[in-house]
Order: sequence, then C-alpha cells, then structure tokens
Amino acid sequence: MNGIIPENRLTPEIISYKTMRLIIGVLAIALPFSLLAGSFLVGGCGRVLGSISAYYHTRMRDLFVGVLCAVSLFLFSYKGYDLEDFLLCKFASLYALGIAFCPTLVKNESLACMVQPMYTNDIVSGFHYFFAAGFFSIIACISLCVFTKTHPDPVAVGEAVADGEVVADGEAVAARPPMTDMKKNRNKVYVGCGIAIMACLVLIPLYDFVLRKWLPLPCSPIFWLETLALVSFGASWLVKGGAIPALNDEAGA
Amino acid sequence: MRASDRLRSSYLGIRTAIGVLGIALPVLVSLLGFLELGPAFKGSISAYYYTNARDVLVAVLATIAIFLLSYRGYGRIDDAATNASGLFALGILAFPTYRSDRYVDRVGLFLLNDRVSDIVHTSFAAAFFLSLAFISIFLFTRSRETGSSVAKRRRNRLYRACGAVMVAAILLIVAFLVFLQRSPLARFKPVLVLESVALFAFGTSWLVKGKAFIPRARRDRRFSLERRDDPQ
Repeated sequence: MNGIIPENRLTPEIISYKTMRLIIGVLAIALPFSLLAGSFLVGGCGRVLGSISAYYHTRMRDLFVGVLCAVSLFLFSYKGYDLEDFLLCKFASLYALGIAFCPTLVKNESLACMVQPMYTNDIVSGFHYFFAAGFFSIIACISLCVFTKTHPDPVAVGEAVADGEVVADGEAVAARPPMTDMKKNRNKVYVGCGIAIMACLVLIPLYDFVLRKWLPLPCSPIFWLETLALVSFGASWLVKGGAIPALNDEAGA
Repeated sequence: MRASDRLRSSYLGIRTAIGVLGIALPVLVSLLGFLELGPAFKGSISAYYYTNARDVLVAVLATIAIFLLSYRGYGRIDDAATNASGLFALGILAFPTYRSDRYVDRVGLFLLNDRVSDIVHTSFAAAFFLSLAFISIFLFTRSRETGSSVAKRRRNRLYRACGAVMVAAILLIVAFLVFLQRSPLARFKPVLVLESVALFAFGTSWLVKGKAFIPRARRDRRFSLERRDDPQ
C-alpha cells in the first residue's frame, strides 16, 4: 500500500454497476428459498407458510426485512439510462420498503413457528397488499419495457462505443449500436420474465379472494406464485447483469 | 451527462446512501424508541433490537452489510477489507445483544442463550468499527497519482480524523464495559452516545467519499472529465 491506486483499477464504478444488477437478481431469487430453508432448519416451521410475507412473523423476520431493504437500497441508487428507468427504480424501491415495514396480517393459519406477536392490523395489511402489487407491477414493467430497449452500453460495447461517439450540441452522445442476435435472445428472456410476473399478479389475488373459498389447496399456492414472481424478477436482472454467459454478446459482456 | 456517466454516478449515489444510513441509524432508532419507551433512551443502539425499532435497525445494518460485501473498490485490499466489515455487520445481526428485561431468552439466527449471543455480538461490533476505521484511514486516503491536489489532501485529513474518532469510540466503549459499568456514569448511556459518534464519523467519511458535498453540476462535469482520461 503505497498510497497510489493501481493502474488497472482506476474505474471501479464502471465495473460495479453491473455488480449492482447481479446483486439485485441474486437477492430476489435467494429470498424465498433462504426463508424456506431457515424456517425449516432453525425456525421450527414444519411446513411451507401461506405466503412469503407471513415469514415476517417467524424467526426469519430479520432475514425478510434485511433482504427486502437491501434490494430497496440498490434499486434506489440504480439510476439506469434515462429518466424513465430512474423513476421506475425509485418507485420500486419505495414499494419494497413499504412491503418490509407494513407487515401482512395472517388470518388463515396459526402455526407454532409464528413466534412474533402480530404487530399489524387490517389497515397496515391493506397497505402491504398495495405495496406488494405496486412493486411487482413496476418490476414487470421494467423487465418488459426498459430492459428490452437498446442502449449504448459502455461495458458491453466497449471501444466500439468510444469510436461511435458523435458530438451533438457540445455533448458527447454515443451512437446506438444495432441489436445483436444475443440481444434479441435476451429480450425474449426479459419479456418471458415480465409476463410471468404479470401472470402471478393476476393469479395471486384471484386465488386469495375468490378461489380459496371454492378450492382450498393445501400446497401454499400463493407462496409458490410469489416465489415464481421473485425468481422471474431475479432472472431478468441477472441476465441484464451479464450473469448468463450463453446470452452475452461476444464482445466480452 | 452520458449514459455511462449516469451509471457511474449510481455508484457514487450508493456511497452517499451508505453515509446517510450510518448517520440516520442512531437518530431513527432513538426517535422510534420514544414511541414505545417515552422520553428515555436504551443503553446502546443494539438494545433497540428489542423495541419497535427492530426492523429499522435490521434494515439499515443489513443494507450496509450487503453494500460492503458488494463493494469492489480500487484493489484486492479494498475488496477484502470491505468484505470483512460486511461479514462483521451480518454477525452483529445474527447474534443480537442480551435482553435487558428479566428473563433469559434464546435469540438470533442460531437461537443462542442471549448472554452468550451478547459476547459474540459485542466482538462483531468492535471488529466492524475497527475495519471501518481501517478503510477510512488507509484506503480512502489513496489517490490516482503521486502528487495529490490540495483538496484531496484536505479530504485525507478528514478521512483520518473520522477513522481516529471510530477507534477512540471503540476503545472508550470497551473501557466502559470492562471497568465502569456499575459506576454512576452509566446514567448517561455512554455506549449509545459513543456508538452514535462512531456512526457519525463513519457516515461523514462515506459522504465525503461519495462526493455528496460537491454541487451536482460540478460533480457531473468531473465525471465527464475523468472518463475521458480513463484508459479504456
């Protein structure tokens, strides 16, 4: 440590916004499974609870709150490419906080592993539903409409962008590269994930408010639908972060 | 601002957010605590785990932890140091402090007896602050070239001061816990005060590193300039 930063590490930021996307993806996918594993191993839950939010009332409360808030901070700091990305991520971030701080009210089951007193009521629980629905709507929207756009990506395109710069009104603007085959494949993933999230958004209230009375399934369908939505959310951000080598452009990222 | 500069500034934004969270934590838990305790303070920030401020405490610490784990910085030492402090922060969360009310309870992720958990908790907390002091004193003070600017040297003095404050606060907390716990001094909640001071120092250091005090227009211009100089 001689007080001078090594030559090849001068731009950590350029590398790390990609890491931010990866972390959002990993956290989203890890949340349901870590709650499930933790509640089985140390939480004393013998079976899957009715919804992911219900784990707030078990020993997994800190994990639930911690992961949601971490996702929220990363979404908050993620500025994306333009104002649209910026606003969508800010709102998603706020809604994620809302989900964490307005616990749901669990009425349909009482289990020994729900050790926390219910610090919540119908009104707070109503807000919880609102924030959860808003959060997943925005996430679907980002996957469907924002990720599918073609942007000058400084890392993916690398030097090609630097060469393709055109100067307009004294400001450097990168030329928009043509869509590669891989980008088209990635777009299919983004659209698929977006549609999966939308489907969950329809099916969850449909089951919760209508079908539950006629067809009470024992296998916690809401938990698994929420898991599907979170995995789709995570997958979309992982692909955006360049985690799947088969879908990346040959230029490196 | 170019798209790439926007993405870069996300990263500065996250440093700023960490600074704000560090400073906000003691204020938030104390204010939320008033709702439950009336006009009184708990003995330490960790003790707010057993009040209505629990979720906020967990949220802020977990966020700081995950950010530190993901932080890559300028070299292998940065990466190792921030990873270590991130793990220490998770340790603080997984092993809560003892319950100050009468009964003994099994707490935390590993359901330990709360007195045992408290020992692990305090060790992780000390390691957390010491690693943050190390980052502020030795890593934030490095620069791109040999000759650093006047402003950078001024910032370096501040980073070192913040680090020194964190180390001093930890030493004082340890001294209090070992020697003075039963003294009348305990009325003034010295652990809470010293922890808050350490967190303010941590927050200030990261805010300055995140260039939070530089006006936005100047910051944006700096990005563009820096990027042009970067070896691609």
